[in-house]
Amino acid sequence: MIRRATIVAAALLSGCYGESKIDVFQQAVAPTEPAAAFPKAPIPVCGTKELAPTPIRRLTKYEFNRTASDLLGAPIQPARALPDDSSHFGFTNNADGQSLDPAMVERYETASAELATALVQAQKLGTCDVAAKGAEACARALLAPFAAKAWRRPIAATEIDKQVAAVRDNVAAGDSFTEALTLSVQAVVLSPNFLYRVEADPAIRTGEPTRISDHELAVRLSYFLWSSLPDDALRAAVEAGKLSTQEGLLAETRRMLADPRSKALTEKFGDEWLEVSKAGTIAPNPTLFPGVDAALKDAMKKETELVFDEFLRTDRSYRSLFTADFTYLDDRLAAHYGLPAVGAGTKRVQMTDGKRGGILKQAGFLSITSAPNRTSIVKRGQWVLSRLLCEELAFPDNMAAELPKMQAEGTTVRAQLEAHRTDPKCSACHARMDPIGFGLEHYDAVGRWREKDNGVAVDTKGVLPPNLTFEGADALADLLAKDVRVSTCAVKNMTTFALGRSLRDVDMCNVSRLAYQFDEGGSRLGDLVGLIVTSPAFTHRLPPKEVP
Amino acid sequence: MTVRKWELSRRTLLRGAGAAIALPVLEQMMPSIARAQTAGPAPRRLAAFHVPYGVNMATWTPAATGANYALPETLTPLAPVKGKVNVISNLANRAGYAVGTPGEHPCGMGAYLTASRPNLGLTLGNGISVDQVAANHLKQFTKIPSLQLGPHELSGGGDCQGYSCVYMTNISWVNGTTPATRDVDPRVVFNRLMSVGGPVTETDAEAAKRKRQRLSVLDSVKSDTAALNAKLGSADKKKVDQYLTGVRELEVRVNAIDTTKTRAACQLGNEPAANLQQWDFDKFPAFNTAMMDLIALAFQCDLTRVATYLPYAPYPSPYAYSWLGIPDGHHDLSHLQGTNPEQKLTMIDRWLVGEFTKFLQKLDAMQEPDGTVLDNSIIMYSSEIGSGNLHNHDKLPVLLAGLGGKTFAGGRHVSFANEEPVANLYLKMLNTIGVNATSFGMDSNRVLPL
Repeated sequence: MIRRATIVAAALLSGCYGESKIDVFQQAVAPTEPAAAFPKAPIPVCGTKELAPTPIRRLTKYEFNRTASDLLGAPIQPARALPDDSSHFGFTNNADGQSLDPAMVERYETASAELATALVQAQKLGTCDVAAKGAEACARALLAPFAAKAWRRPIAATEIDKQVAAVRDNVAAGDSFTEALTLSVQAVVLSPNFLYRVEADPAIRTGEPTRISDHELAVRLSYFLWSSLPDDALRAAVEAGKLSTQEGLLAETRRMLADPRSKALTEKFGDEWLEVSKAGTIAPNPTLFPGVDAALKDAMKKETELVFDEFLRTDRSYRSLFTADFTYLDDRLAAHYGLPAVGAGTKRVQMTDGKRGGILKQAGFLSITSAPNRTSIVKRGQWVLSRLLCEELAFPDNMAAELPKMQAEGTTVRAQLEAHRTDPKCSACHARMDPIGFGLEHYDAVGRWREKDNGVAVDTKGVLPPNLTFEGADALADLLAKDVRVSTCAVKNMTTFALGRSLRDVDMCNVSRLAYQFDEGGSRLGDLVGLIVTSPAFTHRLPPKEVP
Repeated sequence: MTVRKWELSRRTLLRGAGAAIALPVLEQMMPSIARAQTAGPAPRRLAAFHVPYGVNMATWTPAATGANYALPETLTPLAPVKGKVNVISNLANRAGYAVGTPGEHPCGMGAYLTASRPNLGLTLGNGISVDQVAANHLKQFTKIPSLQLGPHELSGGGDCQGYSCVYMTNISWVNGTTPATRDVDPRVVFNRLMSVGGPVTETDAEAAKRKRQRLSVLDSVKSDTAALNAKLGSADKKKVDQYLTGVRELEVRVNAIDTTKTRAACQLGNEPAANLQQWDFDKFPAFNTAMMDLIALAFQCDLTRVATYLPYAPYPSPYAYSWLGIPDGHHDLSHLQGTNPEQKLTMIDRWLVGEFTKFLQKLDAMQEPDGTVLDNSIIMYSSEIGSGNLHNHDKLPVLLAGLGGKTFAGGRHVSFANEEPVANLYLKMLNTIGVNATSFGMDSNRVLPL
């Protein structure tokens, strides 16, 4: 039976659990029984006080483009000249890592001009009889509903006075109405009301979290699930007061998760969490691994995305992401795996030989954690620890001298690393990372099955920390599927993405509570979405600390 | 119709840069506040390059010091420009060391041009970088304050040893919490350089109209931003204030555009190939050349006087220099893995120095009244670490190219006592371009004597 070891961490518990003693780190201790046998421990009670502050969030490049496309009703990438957002503790939508220099405003100016031109040309603001009503009246009639949509909230009439007056002034200066309207549309989408997701603070600050407005909740929901703005149906649900109830909120969540736009959740959250977006940028040595072209890299990325997407939308337990006996292949990837062709397009394929299926056996993960000419046992182990178990390894603080030089001739990578780990300077971390990676040595640097490494039969005996021995990828997958740490880690990752900020100690009560509910309900990712959006962290806001 | 031209080519002649094909012409790049019509001293430029994973110091460091040193194996490509480059040894960047430990890459990268120690943990914190101090001074003369080129972001993952991964891809910082906006795609950079001044055939009237329209939009945005700011708490306000500052700064720059001034043309060369990405590593040579060409041309056309270039972030990356016949990844080799790693590192280091040399030769072919663009520049080429396997932030490999307006001699190997702060070099670079700073970063204690 999996026991959730209780680790008393005073700093994390502060008033969070009441009388109950619930694990915080949820370390697995010798999981030998199936996940279904989770004990019924008292559920953590977290009030709305256990929240870290919510910083203002700027649209990421991805969000800008998706929002622009939804406003236009057609794909457009006006933000393409913006720099990629950097990853801050796992995700590019993390507001804690966001800042902006003056040079960015010029990029936004260009992006907003392109978007405004496209919107006006496509008559997305509607039409107005300028000759009959006059430029100013028409400008107001067209801009007011557009600004409310683009700024994702009801607006006061005075808020667009400036843009309306600008239409009048620019027409007076010689611009056509269409030109002048385009400029004011540009001003609306260059406004910080568009670029930032603004949540109003209550007039009286109590220092405690307050529930955000339904409009603001809708925006959190749409950027979590779609990386874009609320659609008409969600706006209508808000107007009808449906988001004020848990049932209404969950109904909208289900609808939005079923909508194709929720592909963004896989493309952004899934890809960044599991790092498979990097599959597109692998560069294996072309002599050793010929034929790893863009099509194959794309198929690798797609395999993980489609499997993840299925887990997001079906009743499958997240735990079987590791043990799944199916995958998604096109002919290119099937050939890479030495499997029969699947025909045109990408197909869901049942796996029978045990060599493929779960995420640990996918070429995407296996390739992004490899060097150009060899597997990296270290990186594979590190990926499992950091991505699936949320264990961050600190850089060694005693690495005072050079790392030992490695000899590659006639030895397996495993043998080299075994030697590496005898060095006490290295062993602290490598003793945790390497024995996980050993288990995956049947897969080469681009994820193909192999029996030998450097002419020597591979040895896949490994250890999942702290002390769970296994042999081979299947056995590792089984251990992970039963390990309580994977649920907490899934919750931490999805919550971080959903909130768009790093989690703090004070958030851990909520994380523990969600992890408990997640496992109790069968560990389904779709359920976790619902659990998160109805949790206080999502529905409430603590204003950021005042800074001098 | 007056086809407006750009004043720069009066003093800057294009002598290289593939002028065989009809070239696009850049227009109206100079704000009116720039060097007007009078001939003054040629502009000084500052740039900083980064080479990932340090170098093989054994074949990098010259045996002798002084003016008549022999180029060591790695630096042999420098021969054609040796007289305009100084090799500087034994500089150290103490800020790159996380407290009490050897450097992690994120800490070292964050500190590379700031000589300030980046924050560990969830909050960004660093110092301003040397190039941005320079840009704050030199941006008054040019259309673009500074260029920050590369690298592409490999998004996702939290694997930055307890630091934000922001430090890994950003070496230019406008202040302690804000990296400078960077460009990752050569064609995007080129088009931006092209578009900064407006279409080639734009008339004075069209230019005036465009200026009025831009100011109209910025005016609306400015008042929106101010109204929003009034509603925010101080932490959020700080972030939106950054935006307001940027809007105001852009407004000033647009206001400064003189729409009537006739100017001579400056040719930017050919548009780079589409979809050059540094991670598409077999195309890295073309990517690398394109990025350096853009800096050369931006300098020549005086679009900017400040640039940084980080070709790729030092993640445990998959990059193998297969065109040199090297199957191993650069990162693996830097940790001396695989066969003959030192020899392969030297091959990589030398190839990179060779490509850098071609860039320097282009600058040296750009004639100005008082020397070449290279003569009038000060360009650092270094890494945040010394030896890849040591991750050390002392004994850094440093090339200082250009003669800073012929204010110091080139062609020397200058070796300092251990622990001479690299911040002192940054002070020297700043002094050279006219910023009389007396301290920089965490540990400067003098202007590096050269």
